[in-house]
Amino acid sequence: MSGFDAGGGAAGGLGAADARDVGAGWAELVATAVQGTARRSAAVEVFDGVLEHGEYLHAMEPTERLLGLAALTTAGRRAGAAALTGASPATPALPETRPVAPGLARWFDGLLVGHRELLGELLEGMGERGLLLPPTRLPDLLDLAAAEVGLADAALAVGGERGRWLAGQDPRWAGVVARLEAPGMSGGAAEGTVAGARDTPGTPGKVPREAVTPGERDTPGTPGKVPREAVSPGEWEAAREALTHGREPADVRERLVWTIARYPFDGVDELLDQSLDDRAVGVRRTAARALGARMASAYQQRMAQRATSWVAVQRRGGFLGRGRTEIVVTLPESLDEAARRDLVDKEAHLLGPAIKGEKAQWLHAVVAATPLAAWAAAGEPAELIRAEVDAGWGPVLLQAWTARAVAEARHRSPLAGAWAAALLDDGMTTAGSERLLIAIDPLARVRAVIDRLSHPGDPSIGPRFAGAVPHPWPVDVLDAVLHTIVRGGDAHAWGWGEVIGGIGRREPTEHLARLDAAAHASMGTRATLLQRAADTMRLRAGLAAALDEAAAQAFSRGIPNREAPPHPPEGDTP
Amino acid sequence: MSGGAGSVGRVSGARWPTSQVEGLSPDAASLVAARKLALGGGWSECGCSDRAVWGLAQGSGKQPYRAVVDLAGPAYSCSCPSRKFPCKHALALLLRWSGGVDVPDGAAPPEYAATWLAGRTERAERAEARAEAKAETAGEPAGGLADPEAAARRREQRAERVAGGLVELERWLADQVRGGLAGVPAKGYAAFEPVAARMTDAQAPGIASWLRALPAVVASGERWPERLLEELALLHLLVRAHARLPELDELDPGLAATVRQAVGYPVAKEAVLAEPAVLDTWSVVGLRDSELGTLAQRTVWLTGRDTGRDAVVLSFAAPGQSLDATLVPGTAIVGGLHFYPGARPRRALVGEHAAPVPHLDPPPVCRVAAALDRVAEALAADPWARDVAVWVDAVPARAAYQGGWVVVDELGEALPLRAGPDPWRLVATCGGLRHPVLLDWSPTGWLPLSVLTGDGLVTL
Repeated sequence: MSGFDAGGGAAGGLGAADARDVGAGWAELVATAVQGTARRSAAVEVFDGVLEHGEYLHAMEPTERLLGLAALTTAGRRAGAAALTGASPATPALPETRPVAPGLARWFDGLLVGHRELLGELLEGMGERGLLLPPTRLPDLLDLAAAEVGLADAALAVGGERGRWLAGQDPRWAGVVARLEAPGMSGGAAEGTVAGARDTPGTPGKVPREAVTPGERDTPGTPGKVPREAVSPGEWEAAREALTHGREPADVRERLVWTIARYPFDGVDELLDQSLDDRAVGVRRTAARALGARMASAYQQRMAQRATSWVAVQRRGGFLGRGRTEIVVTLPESLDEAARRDLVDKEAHLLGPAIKGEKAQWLHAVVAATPLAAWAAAGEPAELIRAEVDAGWGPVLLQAWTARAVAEARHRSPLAGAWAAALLDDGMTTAGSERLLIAIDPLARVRAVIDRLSHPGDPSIGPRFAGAVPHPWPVDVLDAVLHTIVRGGDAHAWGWGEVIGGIGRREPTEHLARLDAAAHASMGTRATLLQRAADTMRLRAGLAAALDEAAAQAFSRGIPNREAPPHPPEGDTP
Repeated sequence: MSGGAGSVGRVSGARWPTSQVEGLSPDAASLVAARKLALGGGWSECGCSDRAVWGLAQGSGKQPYRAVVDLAGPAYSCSCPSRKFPCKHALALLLRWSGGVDVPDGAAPPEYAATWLAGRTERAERAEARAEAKAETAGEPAGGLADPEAAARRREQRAERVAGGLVELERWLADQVRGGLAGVPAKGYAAFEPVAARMTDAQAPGIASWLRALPAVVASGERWPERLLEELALLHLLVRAHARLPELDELDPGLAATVRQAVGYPVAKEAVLAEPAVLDTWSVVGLRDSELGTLAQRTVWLTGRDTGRDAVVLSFAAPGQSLDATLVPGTAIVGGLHFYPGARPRRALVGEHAAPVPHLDPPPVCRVAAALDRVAEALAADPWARDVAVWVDAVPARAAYQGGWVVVDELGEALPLRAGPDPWRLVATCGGLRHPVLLDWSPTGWLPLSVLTGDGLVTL
């Protein structure tokens, strides 16, 4: 210190101090301070000869002496800290093969906080353009991938080699590492499917844990969504093993049944049928549901037999077999054992208001599992649908046929299209009939939706049908939907909320002018909802522009050199 | 709605880069909203001058909102009901101005803008006086001074009050070590609050803040008695030093200034600005925001290219104001800094300078051993030093001890990072390779501030 004498010989301080003596002295001071000089006196002789002017301190009060010595040693101790040794850094990350887009980092920050629903669009957009996020954002990106399964693949594609490396640095990202090593994840943009929470290929040989619990909207066995390469024979074996021997807990078996229904292997039908004998009711229920949606299993045959025996189609009068068609439904008093096995009772609330009572549930289950081809002998779809049905079973049949047509449509059966058209004819609707839209041709689809937009009796039908059309919509549908919303009063405005939100989030941004116009032309809640959607669409347009600009800039700059960070000339500069 | 922060020198001419405007946003959600607005229609009658930007933004109401931004500040005024500073309209207006979208130069400001700008000088002075008064009680030196005689009298009075307070502090310190530190945790905040309040009354706010930070030391873990003794000992040293100020003023004015600053004597901004500026190309190398009571504090680190000096610029904002954003890491300003006096001049005010340019000189990196030497030098000059900024060429790694992190240099020597959340951004940015890292030493460990990568400076 520059000539400063704090009355305690701070100038010179520790002098030619022996580190051990100072250390011992310091420990002595701390021990005394903790107990208090009233109770303990510090053995400060150890400081003699170590401190210049140290002897001066002996003359003072014990408290002053302690504080003075502590003051002298503290600065010295802080300044004299030694370097640590023994730490070994991790192996460096591999160099990137794709460019980084620094301009998009702020978009990422902003959307993460304010508009998480658009994060998928940002990340997928970056993935499509082969851009990476800067390394500072990688911890947040990995946390996101760990927390939101639906975004995980898109997020990891944007993290690059550095993201992969970082994930391996801490156990909190172990799940992310496992995902990176799962089959089908090559590090580039995931081909075709950005796996959502419902379609997650699991780690080979392990029980998939990500499969979501069956909800009302999910149908086990939707084909075509899981890329074949993503399911290994090993996984199939593991699943078969687990279900046959039943050693896994019930909820795991239930999820397994759900998952294998999508597998393209032979033997799935048999395994599902076997699971009807499982000891847990949840597993049996899921198996029954999965089997009900299959095309041509033994289950279908059994159900078709029951259908033909319970439901009799008759013709009355008219020339050449035309005239009125009547349907007579005869249900057994109680189910036999085989029927009880096949018809595991379903949760009533899932079936909708038309299905009241146990017998109605039986009829619905049987008809919904019966292949549409089984009715070919009885008549044309249009006939059967318009037939008179006794004892009020009509609505049950309609709903069951609708469910079956939806299931067969997912397997792309040609019959499904004919039935779907017939079921949607003339404005007919029943629970779930909006799902038939995908089975009819696009022009008919537009007609079907537009006709139902403002249903006088049931205001929920319009939003239901609009919501079932996959984005991007045909322009006619968009115009009609916006027109309906603008014209409507404030009542039922919230029913359109989800549809409006979907427009803002998923319709192409060219439609911004339409959406703005609709927002300006409406009032109240509808105006608020439309304005919000317009703002989201505007933001997406800005995002798309930012993505394009980032891509242009990145490729003109080239791939960053990650081999050697700048090392200025060596030397210890004062 | 209007508000503004203390200004840090005037800049003329060029429009601000987008990154600087984005830095003004009070939160990420506002930035997103402002971007939406900036991209949309509904803007009219926009214009700008050297000093201000103005325009009309169509909102959801009938009348468009009138937004004005005073660039020297910056300060914002908008007729919308938002309570944020800047509101999304002002921020969006600045984004359009920065991007060169439809905000032409040269026109005269419309009436609403001109009136507000004219009235702003008066309001800014009042706001600054209020912020200064608040800052003074928080330990930050205030500006402004009246005639020299009254000032001298005030100084004498202050010196007497402080001396009296320090006598009591000395007694308090003695009581702590006589009774034993073991009894301190049981008292909680009551151990330090009364004496801290007494120091505030005695016009020694620097010591008051120091005392108020001691409960955190007590709660810092197993080795708290050592750390607390260190702090009490340094307080004792400061009391002794203050008693000898008359001598110091003659022998070592730098150290005398450091002693006064540690106690909390105010230093007038004008006095600092009156000192000759140190001219250099100053690279902005680090930025960190923190809370100081109810104020927000922004710390900016700079390094001079030719002089090799380090500097730290502090700025403050009251609740609702946004922090000064003229110094952007990764840019350099050619101009002068005025340093506050001290044994180790570090804190500075920005003087005349040209507009910031995106530019960064290679920093003066060293190895761990040299970094430790820099700390020793700093402590030799100022035993009360709590921060030393050093560029070290190193890579982060997990420490041998549980849960800790270090940075390791070429020779395998390491510096311990301050305990706290894992330094993932540093780890991700370095990717396992050594980089120049700007580290700030403190008695409890080193804090990484920035990293220089192949793509430029990254603030952590």
